[in-house]
Amino acid sequence: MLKYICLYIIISVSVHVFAQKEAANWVLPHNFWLDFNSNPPTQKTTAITQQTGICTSPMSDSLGNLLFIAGSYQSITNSIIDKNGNLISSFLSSSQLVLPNKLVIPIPQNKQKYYVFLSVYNTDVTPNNFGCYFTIIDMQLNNGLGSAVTGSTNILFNSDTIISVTGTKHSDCSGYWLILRSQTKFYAYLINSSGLNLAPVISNASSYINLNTGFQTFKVNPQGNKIAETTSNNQIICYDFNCTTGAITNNKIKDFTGIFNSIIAVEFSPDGSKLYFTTRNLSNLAQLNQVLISNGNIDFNNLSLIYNNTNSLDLVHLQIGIDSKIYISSSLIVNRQNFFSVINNPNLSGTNCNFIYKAIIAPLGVNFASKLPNFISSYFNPQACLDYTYTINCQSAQFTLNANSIQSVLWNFGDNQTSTLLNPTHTYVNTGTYTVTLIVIFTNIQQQTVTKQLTINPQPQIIKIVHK
Amino acid sequence: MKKLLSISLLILLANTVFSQIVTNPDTVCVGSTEYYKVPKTAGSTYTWGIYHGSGTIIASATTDSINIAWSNTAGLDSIWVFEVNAGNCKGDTSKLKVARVAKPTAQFDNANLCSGNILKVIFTGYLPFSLEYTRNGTIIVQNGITQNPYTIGTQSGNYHLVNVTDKNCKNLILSGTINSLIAQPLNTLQIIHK
Repeated sequence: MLKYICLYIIISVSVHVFAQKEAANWVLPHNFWLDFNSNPPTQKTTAITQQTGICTSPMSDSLGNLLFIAGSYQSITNSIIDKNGNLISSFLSSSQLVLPNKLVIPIPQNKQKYYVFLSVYNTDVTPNNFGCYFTIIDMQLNNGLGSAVTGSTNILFNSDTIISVTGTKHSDCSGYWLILRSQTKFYAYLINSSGLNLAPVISNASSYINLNTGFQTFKVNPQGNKIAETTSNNQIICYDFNCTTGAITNNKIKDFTGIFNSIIAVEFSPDGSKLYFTTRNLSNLAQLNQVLISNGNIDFNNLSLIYNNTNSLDLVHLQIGIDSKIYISSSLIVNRQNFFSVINNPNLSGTNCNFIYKAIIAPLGVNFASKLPNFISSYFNPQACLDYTYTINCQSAQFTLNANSIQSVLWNFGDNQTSTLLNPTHTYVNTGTYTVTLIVIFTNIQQQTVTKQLTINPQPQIIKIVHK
Repeated sequence: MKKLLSISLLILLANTVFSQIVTNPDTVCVGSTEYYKVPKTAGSTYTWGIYHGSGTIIASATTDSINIAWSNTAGLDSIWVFEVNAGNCKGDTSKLKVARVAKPTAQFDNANLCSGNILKVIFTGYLPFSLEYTRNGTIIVQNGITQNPYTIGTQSGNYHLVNVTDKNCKNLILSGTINSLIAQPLNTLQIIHK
């Protein structure tokens, strides 16, 4: 017991916060920027010209440095711009979807290249322009500012009526799934070190999306095994997502007509146990408490109303931050500033989730029009792929941690020696097999342990050369 | 007690000084290709080299065995090898001294002899020698020659040297006096008075 208390004390006094911060920069429409490299996030205005109301997907490196943004550039509706606001590449379509229609996904095992996806749904042109495009950005080009890879720009790979895009990690913790929602289907595309597999896994959706009758969103939980979407008929639909096969099955539909009106958006809690949703005409925030129950079903009746007022569009879209809080955007109303409300502890039930109305108010004149950035959901579940690797160099071992959003770590090397460094090197005095235990505390205070064994071999014996 | 300590110290010192294998020079013929090997450990790699570069390592130099094509000049050199095991631990470097020795030669001491003269072969190289030669086309092999020069005999005939082997090397005889003739005895001349 004393040993564990000591371990806890060592972890507690480790003050450095380690994090992989690919989602640290929320560069929003209308030049508004929330920088999550600090806690709470810092408000910034930026020279990066973003049109109001155009969805963005900013990409940062693992240290939280902004790399580039899939957004807009001056009058070009859909484009990719570098961190200084210069145009990298333009998409041909000017489609302006109200739903997240851009997403950046890294190419696994290639830290310099990224897919930028854009879904378009444009009935204003003849013929109508539907589908999903990609452009590959290589950050090694243009002196590290990034440039589009020749021959890999504006590649149309799906011509269905794609409404929205999202993504999550594959169960192997290396690859990713790009998930597209068309009016009637889901398309799951695997991205691995070889790139985008153009043969998708296709699953039928339970609802037909009609953009003329209402707004809908869909999200994957940070664990990558549930999808939730809203419909224009006051429904919430949950599906199981198989992050090994890409199949989307087991739809569960709940019609909230008579309880809520005009459900807009959903978001999962970081631990995946709660599902939050908002309504449009009256501003409601509600929490479904039991999203993940043992048989894969959802208890739609275990519902908590977290907040409500009579304003319209106070609470619109929801997005988890790397600080494991959920941020809820407002729409700009005349004579009112844009603002965020925040759920501080979204993993907790009911009002214990600590909802703060109007927690962050944007400067006067800023209008990001309720749009929140689009990220791979796995960035908000650091525990999902916690792992470490090691390389042995005779008597010493170099450990490398693979995880996001780390508050502190404690390594126990199995020889009564410990370290709180993120990626330590340890030299063993004796040969033998050791059990190395890593304890990680994440920024959301959750703790996880990984244990592996390694063997320190004796030095080779002197060898005799034989001449035959 | 003090004596025991001294002995221990000496043993320790000796082990330290001679921690790398010191072998007697291994002998090879100039121009030969030789095979060398060390005991193989699973997961280990081996790095081989030749100190003075008087040979060429053929094929991979990271396996437990190699072939070396030695140069055509006599001299001394050493092979070295070290092992890196699966845990990236490097072992001590082991060496093998190698002496490249010239190939033996053999030649007759005389190309033409009269009947009754003794035909001898003169060698260069290291005892014992083996000699292969022909007499009137018949192959004769003589092993274990420990004398230099070596006496073939007085039997008349056409002699031709084929090859010679000494302690270290074999050499096809390609130069020098390799043919000799011991003439048939002459008939007694009859003096005719005309």
